[in-house]
Amino acid sequence: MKHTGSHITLRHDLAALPFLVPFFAVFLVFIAYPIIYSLWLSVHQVTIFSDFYDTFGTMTYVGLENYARILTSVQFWWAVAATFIYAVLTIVPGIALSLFLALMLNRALMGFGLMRSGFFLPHVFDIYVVGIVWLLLYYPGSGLVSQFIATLGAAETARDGVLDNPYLTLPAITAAMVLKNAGFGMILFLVTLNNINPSIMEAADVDGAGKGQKLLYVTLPLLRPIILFLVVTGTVGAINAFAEIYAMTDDTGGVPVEMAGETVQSARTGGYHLFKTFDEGRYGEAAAVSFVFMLFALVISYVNFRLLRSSD
Amino acid sequence: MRHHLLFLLFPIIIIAAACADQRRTDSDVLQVWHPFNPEETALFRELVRDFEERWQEQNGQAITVSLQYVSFDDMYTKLRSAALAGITPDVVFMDVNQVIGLAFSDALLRLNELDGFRARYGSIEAAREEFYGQSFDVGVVNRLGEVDLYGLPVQVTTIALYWNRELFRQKGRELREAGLASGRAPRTWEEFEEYAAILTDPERRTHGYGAHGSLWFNLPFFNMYGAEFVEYDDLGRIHPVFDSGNARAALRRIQAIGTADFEAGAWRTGASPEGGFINNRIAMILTGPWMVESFANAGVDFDVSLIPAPSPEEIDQLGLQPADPDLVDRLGPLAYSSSNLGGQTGVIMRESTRADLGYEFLEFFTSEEIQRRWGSRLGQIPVRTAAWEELDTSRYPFMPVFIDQLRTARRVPPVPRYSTMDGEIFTPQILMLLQGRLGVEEFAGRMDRLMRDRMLDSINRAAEAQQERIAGR
Repeated sequence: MKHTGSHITLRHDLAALPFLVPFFAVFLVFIAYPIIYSLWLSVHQVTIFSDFYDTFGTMTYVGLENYARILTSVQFWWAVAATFIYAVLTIVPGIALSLFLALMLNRALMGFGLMRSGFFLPHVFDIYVVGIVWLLLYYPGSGLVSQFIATLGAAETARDGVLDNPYLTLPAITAAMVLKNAGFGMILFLVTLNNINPSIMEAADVDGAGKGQKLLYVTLPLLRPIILFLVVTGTVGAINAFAEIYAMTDDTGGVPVEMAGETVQSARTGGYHLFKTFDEGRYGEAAAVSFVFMLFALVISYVNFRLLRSSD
Repeated sequence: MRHHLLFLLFPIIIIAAACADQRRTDSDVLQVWHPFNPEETALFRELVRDFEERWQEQNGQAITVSLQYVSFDDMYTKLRSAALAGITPDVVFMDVNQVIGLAFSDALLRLNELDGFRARYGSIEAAREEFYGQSFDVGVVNRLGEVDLYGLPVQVTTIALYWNRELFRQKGRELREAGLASGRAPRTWEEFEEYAAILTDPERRTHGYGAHGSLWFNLPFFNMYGAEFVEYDDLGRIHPVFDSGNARAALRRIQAIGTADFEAGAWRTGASPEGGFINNRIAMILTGPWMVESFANAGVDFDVSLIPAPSPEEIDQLGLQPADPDLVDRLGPLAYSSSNLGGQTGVIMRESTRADLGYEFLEFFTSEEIQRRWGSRLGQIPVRTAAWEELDTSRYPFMPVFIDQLRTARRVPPVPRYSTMDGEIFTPQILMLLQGRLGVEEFAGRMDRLMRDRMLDSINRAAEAQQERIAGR
């Protein structure tokens, strides 16, 4: 029997098919279908009179009305702004702290292994549990953080609690998250630092570079892929931030503030806004919100990618 | 290769089996979802066994009541998932605030259309006479202009004033010097402010009062001052009516005691009035009977009294009326006190295959005899007023106070989206009021606008569309 090359390739491809089916089945059922269904949902409206037993079957088609409503909503744009603030306050200090810890612990000294584990441990804990612990630390008046703030002379802020100050709610939540997640970034940086070829540093030494120059011109550029990874995952994390907001604001979204004549909650980030919209049964609007945020995430990730790659 | 295909088919078969129609066909089983705690569940199981036995004796038919615990917070979500899969239970005991929303989305059976109900009561009004009226009204829903009964009250609760006897004793001399008794709670809000100020001691870090920030805990003030949130027109459309002199009077009271130096800041994020009360840091709080055991176990020396009432001048000025005029002789000015209403309502799901049995189960559970048993064993207030008589309260000394408080209470505002009303509209505004960033007048006006913009306009539009759809059929 004679086989041609194309026949063999086709047979190989066909043989691979059964092995691909499980993945495609899972992909179609759990990823592709929900995305397409969400898109369909975003152009429909569920009302309080929609049949409880056939909610999605009795929805009404509203075209782009859901998108128009959210794009003219003060609450939505505040959620976008709060997400941006959250992202800046978690990504920048988070990377800086992770890098600082990695540089400090990147040596083979006694006890450093234990410290690395210690810094990494909070990352393993459930985000809701961490949120509750920090809620106690921020407890008005008697919480550890409140007492510390009182010693600094800010008695009123200490008495009311930082979470009840509209300007401090988001920074307080992000500070907790930065400390929780710094260990993860530290591990990534440590792995990369350990993989830097010593000869590169030796060459820098020969060229007369000081410690600061080596860090700025040699180490940091080599760590850029990790920084890019942390920026992209941090951006997605900021857009999805929910459990920490839920836990640390008693499910209020934070202390209310005035914004363009409307009342908005100071820590109502995108993820929390999406949850509340969904929780109120506004499924079509919630789907539209998720698509707009997905668009933001794609654009921001692309810009990050281009910016960090263009300087290579 | 055939084995490979079988291996691939296996998960598909499993998924298909899971998605298959699981609707129960066994007509002798009544499925009941409830959110009762372990102590309540133990008694509930006893009662269910009694019901099964009685049913068999009376009808010669063996039945099974299958109980399923679903946590209070998850009830609505699980019910929604079950409805979409077509596997809802027959009977559900659900939070009073969820009944209207479910009635609007046509999830519940109209009890007044069942033969059992018609035979027993004849009309909704006649049935109301036998139950605690405010609690019964929760199940009476105006849906698109049609008023029907969608549920019976199965558990009722309210909040009253808890006061720390130890902190009152510690300040006994100062209280007496001010002409106040240290062995009782304040009866009017003016008196409350005097007590709270004396009970506040910065050196001991104690406060006279700890306020809650949510709508439910602030409803006693609005009920007491006769403020309404919404009203229904003949077509079933809902209109905001909050902005009134009564609502402003209630807001001024909330503001006065919530921003005073004697308030512990308990409404702030992360803080809790109950926590301060347990730690002997807060002398007076408003909370419900479910906290009695926790406070007693924590060794707090406390008592429970009726929530203070407005002053006689305020009563005259605003033309306030007591919820139960019969209380005036016995309680005097305290009859003008008021509180809120919580608890559970028993409903029958629309797709129930045993609505008749479900209704009989609800009747059994809410019967005078069972309610008296339930109340005496668990210290809970019966939903049928006849069961209030001869109730054994020996193990629950505060129960008579809670029953009196309940007589003064009023139902929660009949809005279909209570959680939106609370979390998105009321609570943010009240927090701003307590933080001093919003005035009473602004609050009152804003509430009507927000209720309209964020909730009622869309509901009314949907109601009109629904009515047009029905008319077109």
